[in-house]
Amino acid sequence: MLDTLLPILIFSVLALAAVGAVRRVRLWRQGRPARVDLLRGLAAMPRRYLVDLHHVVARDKVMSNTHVATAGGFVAAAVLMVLVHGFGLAEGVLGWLLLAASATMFVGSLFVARRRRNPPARLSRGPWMRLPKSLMAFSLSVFVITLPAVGLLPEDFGSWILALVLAAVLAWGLGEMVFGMAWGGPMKHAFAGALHLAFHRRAERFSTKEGEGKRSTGLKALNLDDENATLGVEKPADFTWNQLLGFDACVQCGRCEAVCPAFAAGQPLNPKKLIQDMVVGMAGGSDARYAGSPYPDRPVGEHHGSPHGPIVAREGKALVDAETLWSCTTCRACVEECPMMIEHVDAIVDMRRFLTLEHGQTPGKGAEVLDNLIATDNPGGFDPGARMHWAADLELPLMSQCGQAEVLLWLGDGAYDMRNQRTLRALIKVLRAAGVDFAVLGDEERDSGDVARRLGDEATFQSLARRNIATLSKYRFERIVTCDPHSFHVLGNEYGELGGDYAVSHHSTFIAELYDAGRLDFRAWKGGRVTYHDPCYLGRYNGEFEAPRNVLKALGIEVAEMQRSGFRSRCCGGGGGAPITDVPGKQRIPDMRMGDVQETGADLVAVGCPQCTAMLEGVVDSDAEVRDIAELVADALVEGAPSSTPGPASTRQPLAEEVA
Amino acid sequence: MAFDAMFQPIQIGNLTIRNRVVSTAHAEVHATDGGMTTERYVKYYEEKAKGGCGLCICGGSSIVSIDSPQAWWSSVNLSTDRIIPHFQNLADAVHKHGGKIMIQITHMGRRSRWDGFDWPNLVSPSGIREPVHRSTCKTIEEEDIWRIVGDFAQAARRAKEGGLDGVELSAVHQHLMDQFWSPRVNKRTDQWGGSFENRMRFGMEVLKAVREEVGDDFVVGMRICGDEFHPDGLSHEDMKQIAAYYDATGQVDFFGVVGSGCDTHDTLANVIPNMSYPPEPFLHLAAGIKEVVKVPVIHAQNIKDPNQANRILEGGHVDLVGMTRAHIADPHLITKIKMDQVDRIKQCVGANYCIDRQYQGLDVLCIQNAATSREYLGMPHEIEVTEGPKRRVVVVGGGPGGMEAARVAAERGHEVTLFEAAEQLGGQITIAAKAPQRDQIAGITRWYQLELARLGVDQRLGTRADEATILDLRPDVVVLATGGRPFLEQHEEWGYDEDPDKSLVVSTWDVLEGRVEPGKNVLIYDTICEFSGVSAADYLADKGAKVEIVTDDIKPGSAVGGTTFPTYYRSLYEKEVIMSSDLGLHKVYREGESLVAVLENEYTGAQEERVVDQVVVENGVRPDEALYYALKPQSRNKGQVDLEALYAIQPQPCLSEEGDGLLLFRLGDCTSPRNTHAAIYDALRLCKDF
Repeated sequence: MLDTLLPILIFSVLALAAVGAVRRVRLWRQGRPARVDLLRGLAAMPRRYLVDLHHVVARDKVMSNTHVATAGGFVAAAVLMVLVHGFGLAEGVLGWLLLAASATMFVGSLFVARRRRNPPARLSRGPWMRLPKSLMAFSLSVFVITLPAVGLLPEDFGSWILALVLAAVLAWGLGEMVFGMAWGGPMKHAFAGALHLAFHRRAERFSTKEGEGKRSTGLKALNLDDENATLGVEKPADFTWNQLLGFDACVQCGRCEAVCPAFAAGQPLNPKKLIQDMVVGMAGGSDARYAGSPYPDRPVGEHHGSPHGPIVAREGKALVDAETLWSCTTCRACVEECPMMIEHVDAIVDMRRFLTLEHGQTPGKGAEVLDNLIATDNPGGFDPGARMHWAADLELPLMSQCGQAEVLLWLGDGAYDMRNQRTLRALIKVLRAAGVDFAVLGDEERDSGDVARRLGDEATFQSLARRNIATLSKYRFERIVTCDPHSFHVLGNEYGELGGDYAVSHHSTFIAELYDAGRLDFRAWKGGRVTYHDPCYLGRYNGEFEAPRNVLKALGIEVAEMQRSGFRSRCCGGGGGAPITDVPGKQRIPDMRMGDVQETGADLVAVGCPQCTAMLEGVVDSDAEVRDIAELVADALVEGAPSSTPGPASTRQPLAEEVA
Repeated sequence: MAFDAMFQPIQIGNLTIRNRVVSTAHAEVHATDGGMTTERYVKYYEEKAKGGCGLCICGGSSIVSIDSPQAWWSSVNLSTDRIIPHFQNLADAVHKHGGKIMIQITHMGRRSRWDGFDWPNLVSPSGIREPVHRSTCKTIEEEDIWRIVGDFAQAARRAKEGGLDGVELSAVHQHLMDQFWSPRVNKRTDQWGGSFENRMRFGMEVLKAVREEVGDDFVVGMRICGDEFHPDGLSHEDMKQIAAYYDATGQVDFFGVVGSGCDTHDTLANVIPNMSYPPEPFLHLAAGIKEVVKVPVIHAQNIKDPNQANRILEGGHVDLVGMTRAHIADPHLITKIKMDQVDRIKQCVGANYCIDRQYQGLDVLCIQNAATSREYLGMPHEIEVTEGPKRRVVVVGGGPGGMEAARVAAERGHEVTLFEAAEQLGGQITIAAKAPQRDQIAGITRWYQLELARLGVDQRLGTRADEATILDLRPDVVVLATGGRPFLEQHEEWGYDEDPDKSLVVSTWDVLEGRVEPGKNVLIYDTICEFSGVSAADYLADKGAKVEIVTDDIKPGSAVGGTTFPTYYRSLYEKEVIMSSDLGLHKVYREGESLVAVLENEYTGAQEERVVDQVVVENGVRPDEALYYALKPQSRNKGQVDLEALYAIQPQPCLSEEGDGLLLFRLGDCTSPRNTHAAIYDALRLCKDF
């Protein structure tokens, strides 16, 4: 009986799935066009899956093995099942292979079941809770129905009742695994995920046969010249089709939620929920069936959307609240963790672009900062002619006078900030000690545009960028060095699209090189315990984790690492304009970060970013000192003859010198 | 950006000054070896430059000619090429830290002393005696004038060759140049006196000669007065005319403006306004000069607070602010602003200990910062954490010495407990601050309160420490700074009794602290002649008492410094306080409801009586030694301070010796009564090596 039943079952499920798949594809195609090389993407997909995606998943060994067994077993079993039971090709090795595949899948699904017994908070519940059972139903039923095919059981074992039961169980399994895949069940992730890998908007992220993928973190420029297009994303259909596809790939594993600083701070953002809301939006409906952690303090079930309805309501509620979008620090921790390679930050900035450019609704101090940038080319609204006041006594070589230098020192808007001026002065002391040929732009420098861009003001960003590029094009230099990772990122990764291609180094990278070249000499470190905070825009955005640590090592410092460090570093809360939009939460992100510092027992946290310095220093109840790497290096420099001040307690005046 | 007006660079001549804050010219009394800028001098200015000061104008009243004596005030001597290499050291030290340095050059004319060294004939336009220095002088001759004009040019050359950034011609404080300007002292009828142009001639010749010598690429400024405050002197309008006249030459790169002349004791007090003055009392005079000149104007006088300085600059009243005493109190003032540690700035309180020492020919020191001008000895402005053992330090007494000891020990990283019997810190500073116009001295305590809190010192206020409490804490080091009490029991005839109901006399502390009601008719007997006697007189008169203050010394208040006694006298005379001299307090007895004070003339022995209702005696402080002698036998070092180590600014040897038992030190008035600076200096030099 099964012989008759199984092909019918299998092919009708496949047919239904095909219908579902077409419907799903049509949902994605509501999005704006995006130029993707479809064939090449499909060809690259297996590699992207097996290498790049696996690289992320493999950070959790158990889960990785579980997935290999379950997914690998399923893919093999599904194909073999069609051959064996659909076309009746049971002879030879195929049946045995099918047995092996379904057995493997069954073992995998046991592990899935185990994880679902006591799932961590980040995992969504709902339909996902039945998935292990479905996996077992599928693998077990396939296994059993295949036993007769290889002769381990008689062809007519059991009764017709058993056959019906088996068929029913298989139908359940097939329903979940194949029908559900195309019609929006948990298994949708396999279908959408595979295509997302193939048609990803940042193909350069992925490895190729030639080598590893590149970090692709720069935001993509918005075409401001198209008068008909909405600026940014107002409604789900304003995303590009492959972004919509990407949202659909989400497995709701909540790794993003677990690392999101805004979520941890109790601000109304949860990256996973945001992606799910976009999924709701593209199909239309409400978020009532979402079964994961909500946005803190925002109950589920009150928001709804449609593909062509606004994501953020001008008044009242739509798909998400504006505060959700403005809570993001653009730290990229979610993107870094996402096993499905979803680009949350791109999506958030796309939606911010609409709010800022079309509605002028940048909250908090956002509008003021943007006005300042427009009027004065710096976010603080300071007199552009005052940019170099801090360096009046340093006689810095100006590009406008010397025309060329080995290094163009990009100062950043920290030039207006007394705290950062200390870092800059320290850095200049270091450059001079190493005899570096450098020059600055002086009053010709403008804000890099980082904040404007993250706040969605692409127009101001592009205006600043184009003028900076025009200035830079007047001079000759080998590379740009900056102590500001935000400038570093923008100059290095985002100006290219607008015609400015530069070699940019963070000062820690440059100092590490100077040290390796024997151009700097350090006194041994005599201070206490030190930890290092990876700035997001240096680490995750630009992959520079080693140079700062190498510099600290050269100073004789053994870094007491925080649990969240390196690519998993926790944001200081200062990125993406978050301190400007200032969405309230239950606690402050920098407080949590200084808590991380405290856990290491460090007396000092070394940083390499003016923003991080400001945020971490702003934490009131912390004893740990916050110092930029440049300051530590400047303090340790051995220069010329030591001072001959007599007296045992007066050999060093640590603070005064570099501040003056 | 906070304080951005202050941190806006400015161009003076061809020179860029990194911010708007100046340490203006003042006599440091540090130039040794015949007026050379030697190590102490260099380190003093290097510290300011390191601390961020934009421009230092050093060498107040540095002389250009040998008949303007420098030795009395150890001022800088630019009359010889010998100074040039010393200037190079000075310039390098300041430039190294991004600062700029100029020097004031002058001929002081009659404003000096002749009775020593080369026994010069002082010179002045019309030979009129100067009252503050009691100096007579000759009427200057044409030959002297041209010699001195040439000396100015040579001095400027030496400054330039020494690498300094400029010179400031002093035409303030009644030096020779403004002696020519002022009709009060210039009575000449030749081309050097009479008409405006004639009175201006000497200054103009100096300016021309200097500019010709140094060329355009060197700053030449002029320090002038804003108003001499004498009816027969130069008025503000006169000074505006003078400033505009020199400014029109285009040869002057900046003007420094000081309100008030200073050839009398009373006007002198205006020049360096003490704590009785309001903030920036003479800013309007500098602003008036700024109205008529095209070049930057600097003004200093009671500008001590960064917010105040920024407000003045934002208002555009002047271009640069002088924060000179502010830098004496805290040479790292600018650094602390930039470090966002404005609360950590040790702010000048206007005690004028610095300038009052200077007028006595003593080196300039700060009442509250013992490291200032002792940088060359290795006295630290920033205390480093010890690399040696962490000690448990108990400090007893929260007066200036005890507060400094606690601060320094805590900065060294030790665990510090500070006992103070009173409910608040401050010791005698708290008492001193009760007098009218003296409240600002409490700023000394305020800074310590903030610092001790920041450093986490365990402060046991309202707790009188005894032997047992101290030993309970098992201290490694005990520092006693228990001070003393008024010494009223010296003469039995005064009728002092520990029981206030029986005592015929009370102390100035009783009065100022409000422990006794002010009498209606009060005799104050002040044998000390420092602050407390006149403070008590001012306080009582302020409360409506009729007060006579009597001393056996020269005059009440005569040991109060030169810039401070005038403001006391203004207040006391206005309140009709009678000041009597040369009378000792022989005896006090009660007669009915009244008290009779028998006074005896110091020189004739004649006695006279005063019938009053309150007799206040100021006879100094008697050290409180009880706790010291209780602890002394139990201490490892028997309470002794190694004087050789102390004076050489070296660690006390006992600190590094092994042994059981605590180390005991005492400092401040509980050893012998000296002053605030002495207590703080002892605490710093002793504790900096704990």
